[in-house]
Amino acid sequence: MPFFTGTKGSLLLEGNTIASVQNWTVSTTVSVLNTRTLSESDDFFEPDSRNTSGSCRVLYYRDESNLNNASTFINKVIKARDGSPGQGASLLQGDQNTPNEVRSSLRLKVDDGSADGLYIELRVIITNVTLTMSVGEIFAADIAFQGCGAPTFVNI
Amino acid sequence: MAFPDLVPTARTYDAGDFPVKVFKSQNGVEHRILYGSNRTNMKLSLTYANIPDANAKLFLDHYQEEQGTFGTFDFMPTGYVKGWESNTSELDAKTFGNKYRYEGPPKVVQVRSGISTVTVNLIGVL
Repeated sequence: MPFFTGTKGSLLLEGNTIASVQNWTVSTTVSVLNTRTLSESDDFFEPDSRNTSGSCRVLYYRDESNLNNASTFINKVIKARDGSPGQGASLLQGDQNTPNEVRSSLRLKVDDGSADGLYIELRVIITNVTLTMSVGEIFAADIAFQGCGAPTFVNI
Repeated sequence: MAFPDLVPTARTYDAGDFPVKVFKSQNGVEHRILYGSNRTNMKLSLTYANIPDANAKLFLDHYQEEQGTFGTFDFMPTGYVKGWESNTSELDAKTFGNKYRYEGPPKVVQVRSGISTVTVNLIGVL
């Protein structure tokens, strides 16, 4: 019976594997409506809505071509002002192929040896990026994301 | 059609009062005149949280049938007093010679597709 450890995990942003992910989590919650009436003693529920959110930690690095995947995340949220509007910056989070898109595509993957592996793919809005630099630690970005709609693909 | 026979999720009852007129003199003495022998103006607020839209429609249908706040009705099915473990007639306007009518239109809040919360306010009148 195979178990999966962190070595089997990966994360793809806009279809590209992020090389230096230290961890990822995803959480799905179904909220419920209480339908218990005055004459009843025990709560009874109807499902109401579903919420999916998660987080990941990406280590910052530079490879030979001066590229790094952490910047891909960071630059979706932390932007220099571009006058849209006034002293603001664009809130768009798409890639170069979908520059007007406010959401990103994120695939949380577990390698089980098959071609595609096990995965959950979501359209997400990155809601928080926290950059942490401290003595004795690697410069890293803690990223939180909020799923939009149900996952686009689930195979897990 | 009768008032919908559903059990509310919250109920507020205001017991009303006898028709009393109060006169206060300048020295603070109070005089009260009782104009009737029946308590009236009892108010019953019923909340039906997270019910199917089909049940919410029953209140709208009944409100329509009663011509809004115009019509009075003295038959109330037992659902509205469920959970009250004392004498249920205490909450019935008929016990005091009154009839209920709608104090205002039922309020329907759509919670999600197919599910609504309805609030109905009734007032007892002679």
